[in-house]
Amino acid sequence: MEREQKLFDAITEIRDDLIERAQDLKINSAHIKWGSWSIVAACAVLVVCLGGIMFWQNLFPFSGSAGSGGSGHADDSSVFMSYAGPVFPLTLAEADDKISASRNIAYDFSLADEDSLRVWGAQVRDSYVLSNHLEQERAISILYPFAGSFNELAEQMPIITVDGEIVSPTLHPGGYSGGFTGVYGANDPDGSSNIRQLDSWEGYKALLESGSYQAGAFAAYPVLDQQVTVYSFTDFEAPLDEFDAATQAITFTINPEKTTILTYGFNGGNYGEDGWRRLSYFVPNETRRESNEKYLVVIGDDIGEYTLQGYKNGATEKGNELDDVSVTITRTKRVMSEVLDSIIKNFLSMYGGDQGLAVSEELFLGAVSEFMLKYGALSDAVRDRYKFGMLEDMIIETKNLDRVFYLEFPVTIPAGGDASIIASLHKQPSYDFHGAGSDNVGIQGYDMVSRLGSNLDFETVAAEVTSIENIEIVRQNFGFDLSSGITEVNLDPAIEHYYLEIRMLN
Amino acid sequence: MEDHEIINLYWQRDEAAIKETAYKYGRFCHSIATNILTVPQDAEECVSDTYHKAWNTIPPEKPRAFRAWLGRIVRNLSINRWHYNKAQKRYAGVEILLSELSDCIPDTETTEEIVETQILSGYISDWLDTLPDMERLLFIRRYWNGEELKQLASISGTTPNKLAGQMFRLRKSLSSYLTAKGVAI
Repeated sequence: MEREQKLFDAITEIRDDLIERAQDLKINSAHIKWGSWSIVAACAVLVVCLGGIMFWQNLFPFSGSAGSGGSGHADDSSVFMSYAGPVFPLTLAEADDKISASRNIAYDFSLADEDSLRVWGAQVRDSYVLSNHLEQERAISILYPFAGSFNELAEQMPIITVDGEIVSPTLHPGGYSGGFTGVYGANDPDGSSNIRQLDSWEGYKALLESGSYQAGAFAAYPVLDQQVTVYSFTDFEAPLDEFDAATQAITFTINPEKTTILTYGFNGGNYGEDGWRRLSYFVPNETRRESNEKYLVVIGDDIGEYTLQGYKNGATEKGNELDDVSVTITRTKRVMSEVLDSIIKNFLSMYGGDQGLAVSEELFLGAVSEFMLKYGALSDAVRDRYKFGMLEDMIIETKNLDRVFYLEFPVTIPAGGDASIIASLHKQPSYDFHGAGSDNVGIQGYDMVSRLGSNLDFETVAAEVTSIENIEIVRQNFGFDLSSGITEVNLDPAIEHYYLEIRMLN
Repeated sequence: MEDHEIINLYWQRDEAAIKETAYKYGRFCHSIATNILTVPQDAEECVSDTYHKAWNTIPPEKPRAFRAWLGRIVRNLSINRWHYNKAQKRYAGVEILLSELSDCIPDTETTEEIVETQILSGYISDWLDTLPDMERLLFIRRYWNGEELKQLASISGTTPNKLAGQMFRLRKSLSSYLTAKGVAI
């Protein structure tokens, strides 16, 4: 890493004119993608900095949970910094002892295409044969669970075939699978400012073993039908030619016991313990890449009197005031779910990426509602992370945090006959971050669990690896031996967890 | 306010210099620190330290390119913070970027004379001069500003995957250039 550091330092010192010219290219606003939200976040942090308040806690942890990395499980498999979750077994919606099953899981390590520089992830073919031991045909409902997030659902969603025909399963998303933790680790055991995603198969075991998580995935989403007071901000005016970070602040006092404030489109705030609030946003201009929609959603008692004040920039402090900053505020009574629906639509149009959601807007609204009630500003135990009521946080984290999804589809098995079911999916690997000093950098981990969450008894389980010319196996308990040509193995269904850790060959 | 006016405020020991610096270049500094550190609170501290360092350094210094000068400070402070965090096993940050830079290491015998960072920087500047504008811009925005591929892909109107391939070729090009110059690092 010393030589990389030296390159980093040398690049730091490249000529001024090269640096200056590279800064002045404007990003085409027509290409706004998810990344733009991080820019907005950076702006918001500046407001916090200038305002002397800190409330944006660890905004970007959801690109992967950071486990300890490098240390191992009892079975010698690794604990990775970014954990992709195991491949789960298929299960029946209702247990049925007249149905038996066999399973074969195949990992294909082909390059994605001829231009690919490395193997990243495996194409998994998780195949089952279900046998009906009754003398009449059996109509059953089957569930196929997989770990993922709404954000990457389009890439993660398995394709299901039944007897060779692709079917259209119903998707049932479970809730957020991880938890929260404090900022200061062991010194902050009750804190909940940071995300703590699951980092091991044992975490999924604890999540799924009781069955309550799966039951929750099939329960109806809550509907936020309470009446709320909405303050909409429009017709923004400010001398932006002179002050392109001109800021509008609204100040009021609430009784925190009786009023909850949710914000959308606001960049900063000051919070007094006595209920005093000053919330502010940058006056929209043509170049700032964030939504022009700004709302305060008031739950409970209304905010009453408020004052407006403009500022030259995000520092909402005495001496920095700016005249000629104005806005039209419209106060309406609305139903919370309707407000949230329109805000989510706006958010996704701004920051949702080109591909959009792989689920209906109605389903995602339900997921956000559930998240807000369980962890967010509407929860009885609001996590520290959401206590300032920023709807952007709750929406984006509903979208990005990992969960277990269930695909449900019907299968009819003839009397005394079989049904063939195949789930094909691209499985991202678990891995350690480059440069993290771990011995596992460059290693891709693939976990498979044999019976977790399943009510089926698997009579046989087999596994296979294909397209292995670009990889070597570093650790495993499958029993493959690539040097001896052993690429197909029979597994012991009694072993709960199988792991395969590979490295790309140079 | 023009850069030279801000620098004059520093020379006059007027604390408005820091406010004007934050106003004009705060976002720029924050983006570099955030790209390297990923944790907003740490990035914020590095930016604050940057202003502090500017206050302590001007005078006697009088930067000619104020933005680049500030950027270098925040970059150095951020990488130092990252090393500290890494030692504390706190989180991932710039390591992906550093890992990518390993592709740029020249394939030169280590018996060659190892160049000083400043000289290496000159070679890299010379190599950047050989690149078409867009490739030069992409390399600097990725490895000086630390911007993510996704964002850079939007600038260049391509996909992140294709851009990753392009960046790989650029890194190899730098490696070949340094190798041809007999540079060892």
